[in-house]
Parts: sequence; C-alpha cells; structure tokens
Amino acid sequence: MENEYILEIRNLKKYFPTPYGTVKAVDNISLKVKKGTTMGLVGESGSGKSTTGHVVVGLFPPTDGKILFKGQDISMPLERRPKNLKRDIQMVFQDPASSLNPKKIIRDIVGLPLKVHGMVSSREEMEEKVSKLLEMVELPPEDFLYRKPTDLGGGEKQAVSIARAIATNPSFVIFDEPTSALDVSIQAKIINAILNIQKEFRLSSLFITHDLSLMRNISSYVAIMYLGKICEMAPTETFFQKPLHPYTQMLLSSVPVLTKEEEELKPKGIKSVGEIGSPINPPSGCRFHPRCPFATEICKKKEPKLVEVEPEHYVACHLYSSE
Amino acid sequence: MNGEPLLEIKDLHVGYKTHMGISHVLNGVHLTVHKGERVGVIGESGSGKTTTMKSILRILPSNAIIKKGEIVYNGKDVLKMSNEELLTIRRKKISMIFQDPTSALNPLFKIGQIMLDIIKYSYNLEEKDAKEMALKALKEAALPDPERVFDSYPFQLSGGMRQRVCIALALIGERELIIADEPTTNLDVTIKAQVLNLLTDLVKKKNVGWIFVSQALGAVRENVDRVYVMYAGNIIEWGPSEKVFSNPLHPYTQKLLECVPKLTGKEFAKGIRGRIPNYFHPPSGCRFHPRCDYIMDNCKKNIPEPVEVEHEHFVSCYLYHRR
Repeated sequence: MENEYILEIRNLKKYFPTPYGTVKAVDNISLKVKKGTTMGLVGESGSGKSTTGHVVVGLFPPTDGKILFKGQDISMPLERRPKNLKRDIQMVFQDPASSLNPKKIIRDIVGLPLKVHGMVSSREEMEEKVSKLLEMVELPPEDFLYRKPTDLGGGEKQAVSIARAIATNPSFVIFDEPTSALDVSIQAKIINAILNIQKEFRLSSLFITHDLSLMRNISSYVAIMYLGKICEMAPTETFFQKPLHPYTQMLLSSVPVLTKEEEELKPKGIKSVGEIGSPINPPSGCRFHPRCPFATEICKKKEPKLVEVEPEHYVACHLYSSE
Repeated sequence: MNGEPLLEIKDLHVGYKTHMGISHVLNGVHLTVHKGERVGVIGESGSGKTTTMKSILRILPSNAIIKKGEIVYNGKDVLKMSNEELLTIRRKKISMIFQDPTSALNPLFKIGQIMLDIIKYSYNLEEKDAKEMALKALKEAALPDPERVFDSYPFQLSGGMRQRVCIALALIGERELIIADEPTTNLDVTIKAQVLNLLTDLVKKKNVGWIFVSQALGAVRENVDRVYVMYAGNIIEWGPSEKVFSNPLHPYTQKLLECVPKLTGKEFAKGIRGRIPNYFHPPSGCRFHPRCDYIMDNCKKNIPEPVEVEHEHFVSCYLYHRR
C-alpha cells in the first residue's frame, strides 16, 4: 500500500546537555508531511525549527522519538544510515558561504554527490549533468562551471547549494532558511527557482523560516514552533484566515506589511510583549503563558495538548481544548 | 514640510580607496530631514545607505574619500567643522543606533559603566546626577527593572534588551537627530515589532528628527513620514511614505516592492535580473540602466534630473521627463 505521508515525525525529542543544564531544543513534537507538499516550519530563534531539520537529515541522532521516512524508521545515527537514504534526503543550509568549499570549483561541488552515489561514470557525463543542474537554477553553465564560490554573489552561491541538493534526484529536501541572508530581489529569484524545481521533481520538502509572508507563498502546510513545541499546525489557507493560537496571532501582528490588503490579515487587538523564554528552563505549563494576554491559572500548571479543532487544523492552547 | 531643514545633504560623493582602485560608491546623494521628522532610507545591501549615514557623523573608515558635497547641519557644514565642533555634535546632538547591539556595547564593562562614562564625559555631571540620568533613560526605553540592567554586563541581556540599551544611550539628553541603521535586522519578529514601536514612540514623544535606514520595506512604510529609495549610491526616488509605497514610480522601486513576499500570498515576482553594479567601474548615466526594462538612449549617457510627479513625490528617471 502506498503511504500518503513521505515523512512522519512521532514524539521527537532532541536535548543537548550543556554545562548550564539541558537545552530542550525540540521537546516532543509530531508532524507529518504529505507526499509532494511543502511543510513550512516557522518559529523565532530558539524555537527548535532548525534542530528539527538537522535531526531529520541525520546531523544529530534524536534523543527520543521516531522519524519515519516512506514508512521506514530513520532515527538511527548518520553513520548507520543506508547510503540510499542519504541520497534521497538532502538539505540546503542558511549560509551559502560556509556550506560551499571555497577551494573547489562549482563543477566539483555540484558533481561530488553524483560521484559519491555512483550516478556518473565519467568526467564528461558529470560535466553534462552538472550543466543541466546549473541551468535549472538559472546559472548559465558556461559562466559558472569553472568558477569558485568566492567569485560568486550570495544569491548565486545559494543557487549552487540548491543545485547540489537536487543533484542526486532526492525525493525530500530540507530548506533551512535558504534566503534569510539574501536581499529581497535575490530572494525572489531563489524562491522562484525552488518553486520550479518542486514542481518539476514533484519534490516534498520541509521549509524552515521565520518569515510568515514568505511561508505563505511557498508552503501548503504550516507548523508554528515556540520553545521546542508545536503550537499550531494547519493548511496554509486555513492558517492565514483563522490563526488560533495567541502566539501565532502575536507573530502575525508583528509582521510589517506593504499594502492595505495585507494589513487586514493581521490580527487586531494583540500586541507583542515579553521575551522568548530560555530553552534550558522553559516556563511551566504552556510555554507561552508569560507573554500571553489570555493566560489563566491552568496555563501555568498544565501543558496544553495539540488538538484538532477543525479538519487538519491543530492547536495547542487551553482556550480551544474542551476541558 | 515647512521650516528650516535640520539636516541637508547636498550632492554627496564618497568613494573608498582599495588595492583594486577607487570604488565610487556615493554618486550625488541628497537628503533632507526637518526638525521632528521621521525619514526612511531603503535600498538593498551595497546601495550606500550606511556610507551615507556614516558620512553625517564623519565616522567613515580611514580609506574613505569624500570627493564632493555638503552636509549642512543646523546651517553649518559638517564636512568643514573643526574637531571640537564635531565632538559636540556627536556627544549632544546627533546619535546613531547600529545594527548589531552586541558589538556596539563593550563586553568588558557593565551597562551602567558604559552609560556613566558617556554621560559624565558629555555633560560634565557628578556621578550621582549622571546615574539618575542613566536610569531615567533606561526606564524610558521600557526596560523592566532598570537597576538590574544598569548593573549587568551586555552578555547577561538578551538581544532585544541590548538594543533597548542602545536606544536609551542614543536618546540621552537633548538630542536633535537619531540615525538608526537597520536597528532591528538582528532581532526576532516579535521582538522587532516591540523595539520598533518603542523607537517610534520615543522619537515622536521627544520630537527629534529620525533617519530610519532599513532593508525591511514594510517596517519603513509603517513608521516614517517620508522615504528615500537608494540604488547604487544614488537617491532615485523620494516622497511621502504613503505615496512612494502605494504608487512607486522608478522601475527599480516598482520591482523591489514586487519582490517582497506578501501575506496575501499573491503571485510571486521573478526578482530583478543582474546584480548591483561594480563600484570600480559603475555604469554610465543612470546606474540602474543595465537592469532596467524601459531603457532608452539617454539613460546610458546622463544622470536623469529629478522630476516632481505628484506633490512632493520626486523621481530621477527619464521615463517621466517627457510628460
């Protein structure tokens, strides 16, 4: 039977021991990504969104919980991951400058995964494949094949990272804030390239960002994280029409916008207050309660469960639980 | 706007001497700020925003050359001022808030010590009065528990709080002009909104002039009276904020605004082709011409004179010359 979900995360935990205590970067989250869709993971710094991505791609083994990829458990450490899994799950990092080897030429950078996975047999074949990949991200191969990353601008470097990520024809790609270091005009180019590739390869992906407006344009589902927990999850359309969690509303109301139409989408009557808590010693009960204007006694004591309030729209808040 | 301008930059040309030759960055920048006016400057990285701001306080790096121009502050040219006069201006009249609050505060001193030093030095006050002044400033910057902040090292504060400290420092005494160079770029979305609200409130309350430099177009739109658009060392369009954002005239401004992802999730722009020019050999005429879709012969030869298209809304582009 064909599995509807390409990625399933079940009760995932990732803790990092530090001299000051354990950082609960990701604390018991569950989410599912449907085949051919993009799940947007949104949160501020310290919310655990990048850690989630890193655990899925295998950079850290999970502390607890399960990750199922196409129905297969992949929560083992990276060394024990089968090679074909590494081919099938790829990642694009935030900082293109530090994720490309400055001493190598673009042909070798993009060609390396092809070689590792035995997908090319000769140098000519590699060059040909790399050229095709570069064309896909709108870098003319004749100009770029033999250049080094240090000669390129930020946007071009990120395009190279994307070409490298799709080189092995993966079915799942994790984008970890791929455009947050870029100017808006360049961001638009990169996002367009990503959108085209997603269509062409019928790619499923996890798109990590802190930019809700960008999320709106790229993902089919949104999950909002706060201090290691998911507080709201919904299809993008529903989410923007009806944001439920107070944190989500605060986040949306904080987005600066350019037009009147957008202003109407921003929740009124909620203002950003307080600071993000510490992931070492998070607030009791609902982790958002010190900043929440609707907080009651129960919020301080009991952690709200993620409940489905309407089809596919989940929220973890005592305001919406029946108890 | 009526009345005498507080600050007027006229035809400013600034370059940098490097081992590769002279990079001609600013190419005739002009900018006017009236008393109590909030002015925004937008543009992408490398457009010369920071160079312009640093010229005002004359804190440019040592390889910078001011080739031409005037920066008139309260009727006097900053570029011709003696050291003595310049120091008075820096200490008491104009202050600057930088992008990265972490590197703006000396990590070896407590916040209190940093503030006391500045206040004692600038105003010749006794320790006790200086402390009172510092605590008052911290309180105004909406820092909870100013006494504790006064007694903390910068690393003991969060990024948002550090930026509040910088704001407090910038607003000490009777300032006339605050220059904020991307003050919220390094902060999280919800914290960004808080810090920006604080800054606008204080600027309004104290009736000081404010230059808000940012790449975050939405944030600028929501917080300033007038806005200047910079591209490659030129001011290409300026006018009342509402008019520039609702009716952008210059092809670059139009494209730039299209590139910003919208909360409404409308069609995503393709980006702007090409990249910001090389300042060693900048394009002749209008510096945007190699990337412009409406290029005419004249664009390559001359820099277009500004035209007032609607009331107080100016643009430097030949497209508007014939009308």
